[in-house]
This record gives sequence, structure tokens and C-alpha cells, in this order.
Amino acid sequence: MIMNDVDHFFRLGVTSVMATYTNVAGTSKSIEVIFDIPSASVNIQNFEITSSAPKATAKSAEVTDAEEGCSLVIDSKTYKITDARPDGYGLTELSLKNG
Amino acid sequence: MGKYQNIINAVDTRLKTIKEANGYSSDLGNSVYIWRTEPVNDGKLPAIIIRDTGDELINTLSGDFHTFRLSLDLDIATANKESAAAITEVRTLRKDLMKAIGTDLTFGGLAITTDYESSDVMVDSAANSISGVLIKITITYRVPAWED
Repeated sequence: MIMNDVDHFFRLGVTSVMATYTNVAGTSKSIEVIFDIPSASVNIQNFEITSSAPKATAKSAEVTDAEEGCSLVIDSKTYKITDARPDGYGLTELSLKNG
Repeated sequence: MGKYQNIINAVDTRLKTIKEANGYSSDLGNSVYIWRTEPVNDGKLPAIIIRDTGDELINTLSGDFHTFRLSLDLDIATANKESAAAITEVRTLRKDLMKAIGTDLTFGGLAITTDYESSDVMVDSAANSISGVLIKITITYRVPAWED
């Protein structure tokens, strides 16, 4: 069953890291996430700006209340969660922004 | 060097004076580019790109002189963690730009005058909020007919 496969994606120290997740109510807990910082390009008028679009993939069961306004601290750096997208199969992708 | 190029250089020089040390609210003058096509990293913002996008012949005096209206796009961008702060910053940068242009509309006598045309503000988001304003100005100048 796919739901049981979720744990196989998370290998602490290899594919995943520990993060502190804080929900809108301010309740914090440690969760395991797969963290990535792909580059991003933003065009403001004719001005092309390179940036990054950090994202974290978490187990959906651990971030059921994730929404805009929640935060993640990864490696002492705080990120605001701007969007949470469950894939329906046990994983949730969190779009992040510098906090 | 023709007057057209001298005006572009004068605009570049003027915008580079935008520094807190010169009484402005920002150091936008540290990152002034002309027709930069390479992307700018958001860590290097704020910055401004000058583009001379075209000109228009608006008058001929007895065929001896040509009066041109040169169009310039001044593209400013800045980044901040908060979108509201990014917008506030871009307004400050806009104010600095206007102040710099307004110090001398003739650019040391090269031009007849400089006119403000329009501005467009934008904001987008990646790791930071990035906001910008495109300010369009025109610079009117006169040269002997068929000289640049």
C-alpha cells in the first residue's frame, strides 16, 4: 500500500533533516522533512531576478494543520510556510519563504 | 561622443549619486546598470536598470535642428522578507529616483528638459518578496540636423 511507503522516502541525514514545525496556534513539534532549495527566477517588469524557492516535503500525518502562517525552522533558519499541498498519498509539499 | 550617448551617461552618473551619504534614503546608486541582460540575484538588490527604448523627432527648426524626445525605462527592483516591506522599500527607491532626476532636468545643459511619463509597480514572491517599479521618463534634447 502506498501509504506504508512514505517512511521509505525519509532517511534522516541522507534524504531528510529534522525541522521544528509550528502551527498557526503556536504549537511546535519536531518533524522530519525532505528539504530542497531549487533556484527560481522572478521577472519584475523587464528585470530578471534570480532567487530560490525553498520547499520541504513532510509526512502528511505530521502536518495535517499546515497552512499559510505556520513556520518551519531548519538548521536554525526560520521559514514561513506559504502553501501546503498534500499529494493524497501521504506526503505534503510545503512552499517556504524566508521568515 | 554624441549628445545622445552623453545624455545616457549623464543619467547613469546621476543615478549613481543615490546614496545615503548624499542625503538620499537608500543606496540604490550602488547598483546602476545600463541594459543589463544578465539576471540579478535577489541578494544584490536593490538595483536599477536604465534602458533607452527609443526616440521620436518632435520638431525641426528650419531644417537646421532636430529636437528629439528620448524615452527611457528605469527599472527598479528590491527584495524583502515581507511583501508589505518590499512595497514600502520600492516606494522609497522611487522617491529617491525622482529626487535625483529632479535635481537638474537638463542634465548639465545637455537636454532641454526631462518629463515624467508613468510608473508601474509589481510584486512577486520566491524565497523573498521582490517588488519593483518601472518608471518611464522622456528627455527632450536638440542637436544640429542629422547629428546624434
